[in-house]
Amino acid sequence: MTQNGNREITYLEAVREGLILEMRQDPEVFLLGEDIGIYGGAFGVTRGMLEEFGPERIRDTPISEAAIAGAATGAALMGMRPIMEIMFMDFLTISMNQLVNQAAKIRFMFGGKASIPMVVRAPAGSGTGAAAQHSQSLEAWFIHTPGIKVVAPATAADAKGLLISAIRDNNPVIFMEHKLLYRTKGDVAEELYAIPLGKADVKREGSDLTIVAYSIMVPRALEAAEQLAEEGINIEVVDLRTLKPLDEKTIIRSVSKTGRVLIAHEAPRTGGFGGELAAVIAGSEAFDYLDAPIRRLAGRDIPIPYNRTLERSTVPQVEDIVAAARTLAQEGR
Amino acid sequence: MTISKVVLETDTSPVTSTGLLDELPKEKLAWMLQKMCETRYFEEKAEELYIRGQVHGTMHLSIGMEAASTGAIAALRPDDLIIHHHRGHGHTIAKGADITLMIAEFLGKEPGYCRGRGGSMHIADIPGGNLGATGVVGSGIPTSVGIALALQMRKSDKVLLSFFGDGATNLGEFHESLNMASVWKLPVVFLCDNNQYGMSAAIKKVTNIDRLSTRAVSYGIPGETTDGNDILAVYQATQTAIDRARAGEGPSLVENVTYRWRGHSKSDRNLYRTQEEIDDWKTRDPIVRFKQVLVEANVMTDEEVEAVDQQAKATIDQAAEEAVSFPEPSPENMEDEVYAP
Amino acid sequence: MAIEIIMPKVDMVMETGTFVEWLKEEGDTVEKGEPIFIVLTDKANIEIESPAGGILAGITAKPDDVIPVTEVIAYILEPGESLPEKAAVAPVAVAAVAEGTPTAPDTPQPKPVAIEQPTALERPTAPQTRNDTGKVRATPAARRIAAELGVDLSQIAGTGTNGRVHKANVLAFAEQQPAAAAQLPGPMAGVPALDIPLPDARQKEVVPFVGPRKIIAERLSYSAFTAPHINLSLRIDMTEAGQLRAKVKDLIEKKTGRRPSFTAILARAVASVLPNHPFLNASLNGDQIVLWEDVHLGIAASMEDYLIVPVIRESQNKNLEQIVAEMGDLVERARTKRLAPTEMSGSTFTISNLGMFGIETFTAIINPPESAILAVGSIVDTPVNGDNGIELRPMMNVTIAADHRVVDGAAAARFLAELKSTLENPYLLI
Repeated sequence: MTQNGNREITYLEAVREGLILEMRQDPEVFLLGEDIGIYGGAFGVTRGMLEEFGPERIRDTPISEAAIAGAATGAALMGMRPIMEIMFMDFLTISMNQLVNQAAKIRFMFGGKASIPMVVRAPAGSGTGAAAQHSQSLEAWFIHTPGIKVVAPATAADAKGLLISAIRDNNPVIFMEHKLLYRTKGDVAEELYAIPLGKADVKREGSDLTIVAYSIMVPRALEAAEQLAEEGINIEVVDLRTLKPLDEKTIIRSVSKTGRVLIAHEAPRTGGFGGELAAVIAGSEAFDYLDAPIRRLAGRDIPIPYNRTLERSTVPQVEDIVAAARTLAQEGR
Repeated sequence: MTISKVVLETDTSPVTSTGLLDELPKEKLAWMLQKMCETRYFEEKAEELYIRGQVHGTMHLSIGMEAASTGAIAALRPDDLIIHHHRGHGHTIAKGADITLMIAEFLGKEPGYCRGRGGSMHIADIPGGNLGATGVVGSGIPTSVGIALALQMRKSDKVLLSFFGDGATNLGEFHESLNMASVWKLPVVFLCDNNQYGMSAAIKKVTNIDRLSTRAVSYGIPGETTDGNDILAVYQATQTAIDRARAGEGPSLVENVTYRWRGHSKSDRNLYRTQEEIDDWKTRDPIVRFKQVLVEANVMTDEEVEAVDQQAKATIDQAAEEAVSFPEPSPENMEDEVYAP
Repeated sequence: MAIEIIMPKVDMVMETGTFVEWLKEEGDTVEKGEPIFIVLTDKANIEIESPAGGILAGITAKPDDVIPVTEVIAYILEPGESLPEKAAVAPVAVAAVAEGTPTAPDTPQPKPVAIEQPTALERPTAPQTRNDTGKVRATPAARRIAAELGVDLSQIAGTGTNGRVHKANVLAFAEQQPAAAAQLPGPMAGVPALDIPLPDARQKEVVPFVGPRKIIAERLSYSAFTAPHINLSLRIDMTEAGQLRAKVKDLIEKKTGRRPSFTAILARAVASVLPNHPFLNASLNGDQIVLWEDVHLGIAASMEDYLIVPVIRESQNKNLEQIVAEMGDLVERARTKRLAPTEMSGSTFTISNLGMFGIETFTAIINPPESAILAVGSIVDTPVNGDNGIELRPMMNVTIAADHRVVDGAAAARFLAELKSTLENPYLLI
């Protein structure tokens, strides 16, 4: 127990705790996915849950990603609150028709007379040597789909609280869990609590430069900020937490304060969410305060390679953030 | 498991399942005729509105297929559910939709079922148990797994009819969904409206089996093929499958072989089939056949049958007249409706 | 990998180059170091060498295009390679300048991560660069603060990439020079363009108002409308200078291969006298007047369609022989457009001689940021009242134009007087 009464648990444990607590108090919530029962899920998130909730609510499925997504969509249409676990975010490609053409569209297409309260838990991201088909960060596709919300927590505490909100939300929510974050630890309150969707969090205050980040880029940005603080560069880190709906206010406030912004994400740069963020900033009142070009730091435009060195060099690492932030913070000063 | 024998090329006999005429009350049979006629007149009205330039989008007409939609839904309880497809006006009418609101949606009007957001392809009547039509071929099939799963998990005794076309049976989603529904013994009946063409692709050319219902074997569920222009045959096969689903024994696959008289959509020039084939199928008009049966079996008189027919026509004409005058929706605040609060 | 060919920055203050012509065509195979195009910078044609061997492709520059420096104008591809998407090309290889002018920007290394990297360029110290629209390059914050403080952005030397003005530059400028904007109004600031109809006449040709012509126009307009010119003239008896020239002519020609001209003798005289008159060898810069130690003497020379000013650097330390040699070389290379930009800029004082056209007297406009210019007429045998009564003497009219903000009339007069006495007793110049 820490001083504030919280315990330090891992991100993975926080996700599991959120699932368990919400399932205990809402019988309409259930899980479905591949190998989530006795196996406990590919990453062990649901380990032990079968024993408490039984095979009806911890529902193992065939390897049928389209039907899993369809089952979640249909159950949600009936008012239940399904949580589908896709083993790797990459496999959502197989679920796309149900997610994009059914789940995302049904409400609007039917004149607002139905809703789809479902969660898609998607282990995402690279760094595990899983190569090109098991390492992607596909948030941009879903952000680009009206009707779907996208959440990408970076800390254990956020993961738990945002998951609760995602389950209670009456819309399809893609919940990205970065695989490298699963083992990270943080202070998490024991009780059930919800963190509202659509609210960014300033994880570190600073005056010289804003880094807008989410998911794995948040801890990397924070570490970079620590290093640069020793050089006298004072960095503010905005953790978006929810990518859609986007908390534009917090971003604009921060950038207006610092006048400089570096956007960091793991997904490939071209067509990535960073471009959207840059456009939001450039089109906002923060424009008048910009004292340097808006810069993006993103994954290279290549599939994730297998080799450790190649894989590392594909997505922004702490040293990349340090270098980019330093250059940007110093320019013209 | 039964695979019924249907002679598709030559059979012009009135109906095959005359035994039902004794079982079903006259009111039910008259209602079935009424819904078929309403469907036919709805489609003709839709065509007329389209030709007169009053329809903005496209539409997919089911003229000639009225027995498949009406016959299956006639076997449901009123509180049961359906999910269906883009050629879905018949299902919607049979499920009891307000026809004025249907035409209003077709015309894109604010009071329409989907407030002008969905149009012909996406009419849904959620309170009426019609969980909507989907325009991407086969997309309703996986969704129907979830609907049936919710029914099962909530221990409801309702059943879902999941309609799709012959083209959908070659989708991976079809396979995944029938397998999953079978494994979980879900209360759903998969109904294939086999009108023999996926747009221009003849099912005979894109599939190497004679009866799509034989695919049921792979999922360990019953499969049956009916003469889909014989409303009583459709009713009977569907009823059997519904009973099984309601009893918790799991899904079935029913294939109703029928034919669409019109093209796939309004852009179709019918280059992939002959006029002779279309004319031949018109001789097996499901409405004409059902009227004959009802009269010959002395269930209804000629006059009664024609009265039902004319009442249906009046219903459609009146609905159209009303719907045309409905207000248009406003483009303002559409973003607010994308997400549920 | 595709190599970018860019409009090179071959001069410290260069913002744009006027493209002259391709020496190779699209699809040609080129060798590394082979001249591939010509660019007209400031005042000279410069041949640009290929940065790599390969196939020239993706040509975008056309003759007379005015192109911002660092803009990509073509690529060098390997055989079989196709044109890259612009963003995908990481290394910015800069074409080498044929004349070897040492101003090539640094080449950034390819980044492991897709960082949007500004091209690393040297930081200019002169007033900041503009793009080809003539607009100041500045961040939104710098613009906002400049507007709030009433500071003219065009007066600020930006320290960002490509001379971009940042907030800190504006604040520093404003702190240094609270009233700077008022002291240094821009040329013709606030004067609206007049809509004067053109004559109704047949057109012979329309000459683009671009490149050197435009630059000359901008600079001289600036000078004419901001520097109050005072003009003072006197006549110099060139008898002794002529005798001197006759005496040393063969000697110098033997040593340098060039004949000493009157302009060379005049240049030697100016270089020797000018250090005694520092305000005529000066530059007005903000609220400072910089008095130059060196006399970088510009010798205006007319080209076919424009003017160039080759510069004899540190002329105060050069004897006649050196000046003759250097001037001859500069003028010769200027006429063949082979001068490097740095050889044609940076003068602290200019001599303009139109004597060869028979012009006897004229006034010149100061070449900014200088403070004076000497206009030299032809040497004319003129009756003067000499020791033996009226006699014909070879007389030369010179007119000094000086920036009255920096130089008073008396100071300019003292300079002319000393120049006259030096040329009339020229033997100390040797």
